[in-house]
Amino acid sequence: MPLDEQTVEEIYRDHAPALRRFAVGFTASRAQAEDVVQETILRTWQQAPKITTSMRSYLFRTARNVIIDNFRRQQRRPHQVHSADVEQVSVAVENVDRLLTKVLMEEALARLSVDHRNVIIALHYRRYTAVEAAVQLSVPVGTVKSRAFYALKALRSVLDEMGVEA
Amino acid sequence: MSEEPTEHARLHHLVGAYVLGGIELNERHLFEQHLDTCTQCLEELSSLQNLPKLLDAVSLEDTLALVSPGNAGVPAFGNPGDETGTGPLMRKLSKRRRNSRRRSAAFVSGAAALFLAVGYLTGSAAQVPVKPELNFTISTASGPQIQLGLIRKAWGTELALEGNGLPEQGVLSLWIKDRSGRYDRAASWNATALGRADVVGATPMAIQEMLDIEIRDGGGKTIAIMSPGTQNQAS
Repeated sequence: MPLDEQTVEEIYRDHAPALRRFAVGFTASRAQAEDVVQETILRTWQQAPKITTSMRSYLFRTARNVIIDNFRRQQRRPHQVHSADVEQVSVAVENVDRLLTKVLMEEALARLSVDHRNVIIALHYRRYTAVEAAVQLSVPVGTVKSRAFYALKALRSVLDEMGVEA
Repeated sequence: MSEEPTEHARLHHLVGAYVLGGIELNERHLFEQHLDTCTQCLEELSSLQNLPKLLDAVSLEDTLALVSPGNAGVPAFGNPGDETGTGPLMRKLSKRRRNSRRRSAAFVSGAAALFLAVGYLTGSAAQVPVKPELNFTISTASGPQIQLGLIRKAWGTELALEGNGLPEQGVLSLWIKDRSGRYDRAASWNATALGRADVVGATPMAIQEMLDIEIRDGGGKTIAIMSPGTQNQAS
């Protein structure tokens, strides 16, 4: 059964800006990006899935499929198919998937506490040792190690809820 | 040799720093030795070890933007005030709803005509069978005989299974393996005394994502495999 109109409007208000920013990277204009956003929400409305993961990650996956479908439609030539066209499609799919992963990971990281995010930044992104991170974060070394453990557990939990598998 | 609980608790928490790469060398050796004897830590490591690769999808700059004082905890993408309004979307929605109703009405009237022509007068229900997109048949001399049809749906794939010669005890199940190795259970049913089955399963997986389809017995043992991914079948 399709979603009701109020739910659709809520989805649009809550998620359209983020979807638009995702789509604009793969479309020629803001108007086309808006078309992707609307098509994404319409597909979600039509299929009215029982969403067990987060709505946003579901919408982003749907937007990814809309972008790829559009690209394939543009590449289709009725009289002939070149191997270059197939390669272009797979490159486009790769690019879309890469950005989708980025967007989903940004959302997952945003859901972590500041302490958990900071320890991940210190150890993973800045490549500090636990001792160096303790100095930077002004906490004991044991706290850094403990927070690293719980930060990754929390990140894994958020990703599981979003339906992102490593 | 069993670990003292307090020592295990201390070493167990090193898994986070170990995965993120911030562990000192001597502690790394200690933790890796601990992994040789601790399945719990090994499982924990297994569930976390691919997270650094996912973290690499986001740059340091973008991650720092997530923690900036102005928007701590708020996703750093999209300007909430940047909207084109819901008007165009709702007009498209209304149009699709009208088109959907027209298609439903055409289907209902067509199905009703077929219903009357085929079975209504005799009191039996008539259904227009949907032709499966993919069919498998397994036929063995002393083992199971299975027919499986895959039908593409908007939500995934429907699997229609008919079988004979199946195990007569336990709970049988139908599993789908995708190309990345993940499994989804599409159906499970109680075995019958005659070893027959006529079940319909469902999976969100699309046909093109499927590598193998397995039928398993009550003990989890695979008794038949069909391979949409390679168009082969074996049991």
